[in-house]
Amino acid sequence: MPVSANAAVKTIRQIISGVFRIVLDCPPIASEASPGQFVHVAVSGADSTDPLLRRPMSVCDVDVFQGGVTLVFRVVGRGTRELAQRREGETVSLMGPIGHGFELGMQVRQPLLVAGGMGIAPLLFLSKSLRAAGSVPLVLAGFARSRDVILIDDFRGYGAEVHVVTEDGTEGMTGRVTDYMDWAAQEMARRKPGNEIEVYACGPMPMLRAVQEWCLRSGVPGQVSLESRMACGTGACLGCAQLVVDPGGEKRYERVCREGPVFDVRRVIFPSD
Amino acid sequence: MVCEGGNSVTLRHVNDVIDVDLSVRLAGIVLSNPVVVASGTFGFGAEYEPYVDVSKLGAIVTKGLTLRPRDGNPPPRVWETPSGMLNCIGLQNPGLDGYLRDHLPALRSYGIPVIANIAGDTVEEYAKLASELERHGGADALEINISCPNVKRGGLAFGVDASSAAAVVAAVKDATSLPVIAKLSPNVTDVVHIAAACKEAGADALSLINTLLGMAIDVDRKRPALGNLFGGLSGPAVRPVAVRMVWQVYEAVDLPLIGMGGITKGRDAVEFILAGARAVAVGTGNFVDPACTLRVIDEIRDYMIRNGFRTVSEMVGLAHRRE
Repeated sequence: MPVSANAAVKTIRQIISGVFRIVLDCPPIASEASPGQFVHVAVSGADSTDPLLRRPMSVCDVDVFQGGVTLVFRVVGRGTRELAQRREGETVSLMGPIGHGFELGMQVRQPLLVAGGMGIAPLLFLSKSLRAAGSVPLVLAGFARSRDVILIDDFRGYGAEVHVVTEDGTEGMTGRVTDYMDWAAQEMARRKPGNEIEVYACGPMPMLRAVQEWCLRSGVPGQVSLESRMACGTGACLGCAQLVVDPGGEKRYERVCREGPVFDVRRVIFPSD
Repeated sequence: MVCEGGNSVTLRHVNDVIDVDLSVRLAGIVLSNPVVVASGTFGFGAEYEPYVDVSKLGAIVTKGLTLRPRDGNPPPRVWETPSGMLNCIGLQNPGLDGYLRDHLPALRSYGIPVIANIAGDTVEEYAKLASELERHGGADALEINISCPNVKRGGLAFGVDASSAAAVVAAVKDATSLPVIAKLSPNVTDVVHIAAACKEAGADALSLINTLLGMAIDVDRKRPALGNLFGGLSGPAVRPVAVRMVWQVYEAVDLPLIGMGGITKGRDAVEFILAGARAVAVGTGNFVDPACTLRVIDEIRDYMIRNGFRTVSEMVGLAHRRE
């Protein structure tokens, strides 16, 4: 069950220009959260109604023993700017952990993690959990350019194999992260022949659409974490609707905050634009 | 309040329990306190169970129901605005059968009045839904949604015309013996005119207001922000409009009113009560703080204690007094 709690800021720091890493002291969420779940963060002060709504943010990492919940976010508007201005010791109201996260399965498959930009945040917690369960994730971490690269040392610290891809070639391999999924799959098959792959992805919508195409073409199962504008975070308002399709071909809206944010890649119907 | 294993009563509790009576009568049902939830902001209650003791609410108003399930509008469905938000959900709901099967049993377990919000494309659909809900024990009262701005037919179309609004109310009154509350739209020239027509047609109470029709453009995508182009504006930004309409209708129409629009604090709720509302609904406030309702109840009680009110009815419409 999720909780609503006021969490003190343990630490907050800017890790690259415009991107912040905040650790919040919230033992009930730290102990309950699973990879892919999110927290709903009140960005305004207690008496302010502007910005009004909470901001959904993926759990990037947890420290179960210290009760810490780590979020990594980019300042993109007023809400995130307000959050970035919090100081250590101040409190932030959180709801969480919320949503259907990644399914780790039975570990018979080799995990291929595909991250685009800030979408890398929830995959760190996933990577740690997969490693603890005995897998060594292969991570394709895509960024626009070298100065956007984040969290790579954290992944390596948790025992993942990380390959950075930048669109302009200023670090790691050049191109889009999805251009390297064939290569990664071949590499994984070469090292552990006969082992099936499972894809876990989070990133901007065009990237996720390319991941979906790759998974369908390759017959590889996958799970994608989606973003949505959101109001309640409880499943009540139906504001975060995502069109999905069942194996039988029936389409319907599901809630990113409840049935998601992680969906089976085969079920998602991405908007056309 | 009696302590376990003894019979001592603290003074503080005497004040709370005996001196201040939060209960209100509304359209023939008794609410333990004047705070309910606005339709569509609280689902069917279960969604808020992790955060709220739902049984402490005055009543629960369900998500808008239609005879058959509805898919709702394409996303994006919500968009933040200054101290407010736009939504264009489009009445996505499980339909009558889904409601009775999947949601009603849990709703009944809270032991508080259930007010079903109903919508339809035709007058006949409203009437059919009303009679079916009564027949299956699906509600203690009905709130007629003649003010949803987000569906093509029905909804708002009924609520902006006095004779259509009256026709829906009369048909529902005919079809059921349940108390009938008409939820009015602010998107009209004269809300009093519609309110009077609803009373004439037999409405037992009025809810006001539904959302204000609005629009936003996403300047980054250079397109309308919402999938349905227009949406309903709610939140603290609309509160002065809602208070004004409650005030006007209280002066002109003798029916109990449920006031709503941007309530996030006890003082906001009291503002509506002083303007003439007998009960209040928390809507968008539930999204900001999931326990908003219970905080509002506590803050109304605190206000009453501080200001020497013993009952809610002493406060209803008090701001209209002439001295």
